[in-house]
Amino acid sequence: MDDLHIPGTRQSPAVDFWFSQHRFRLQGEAYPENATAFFEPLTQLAAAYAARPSEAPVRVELRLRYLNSASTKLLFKWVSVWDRLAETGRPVHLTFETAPDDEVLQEFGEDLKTDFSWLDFEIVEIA
Amino acid sequence: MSIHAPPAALDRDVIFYYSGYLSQAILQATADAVRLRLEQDADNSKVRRKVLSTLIEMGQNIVHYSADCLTDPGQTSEEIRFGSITVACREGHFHVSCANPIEASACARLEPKLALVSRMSLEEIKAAYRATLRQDQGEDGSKGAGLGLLTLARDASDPLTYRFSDHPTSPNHKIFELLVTI
Repeated sequence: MDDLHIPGTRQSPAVDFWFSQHRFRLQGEAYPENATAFFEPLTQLAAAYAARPSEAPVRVELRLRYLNSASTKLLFKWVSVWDRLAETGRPVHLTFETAPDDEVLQEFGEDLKTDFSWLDFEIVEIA
Repeated sequence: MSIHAPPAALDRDVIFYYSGYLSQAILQATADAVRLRLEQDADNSKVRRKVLSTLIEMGQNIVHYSADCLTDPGQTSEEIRFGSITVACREGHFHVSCANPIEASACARLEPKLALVSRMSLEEIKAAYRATLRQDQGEDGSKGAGLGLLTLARDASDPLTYRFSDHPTSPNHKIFELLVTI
């Protein structure tokens, strides 16, 4: 699979999927007009990658700031793909970065960590 | 009195007021301007985040659901629909309100959801939010309040205030107004 790089905008996160390195990163704000059109292809790509046999450890990095409600829901689905992959025995490490004063994003991170217990889930506070 | 009356010109409490056709591009520019203004007005970064989140949820509601649509109603991107939004700061609280026309028939679907959420405690709002996040179907298919509405309620310091009033010219439409105090 070819690497995927979509530059970030003020309303959509930068996407960097390095398939050959098993590394996946989303970075920035997310309130696109049509969140489904933005996130659904990313979920399909993650699922296609997850369906390929490999034992290589996977690294997922979420460096998000503001998320609107539609993006929050779709990101939850995207993370669920990685949790299902981890359930098959594949090591998946997920780093979730939040600002120390961003309660909403911290609670979302805690929710993800609780629900997706197969992931090696790390919440990191950054200044 | 309307909870969404146009503000008097040069009302110093009003940070932002817009009434007209709204698109995602206008909303993004609005969010950028309000964000800068809030950096001067609100010391508390948590309050700033809540005001911006509320502004964007309300604005996107108008862009997606207002009954007055300038673009093809079937279109799901680059939509342009009519509504108004006000952000005001009075006595230490931010008041973010919106108004837009809806189909009169939509009131029966919306009103119970708004009534339910406006009676919930913060704990109940957070529990409903978590449950809705985990539902598979989209918001339109959900039987709950919808994640957008719960996001507004979660950020509010007071219960949501809403009302439906008669449309000035169309008997098939109502004006939906919503006020969030932060």
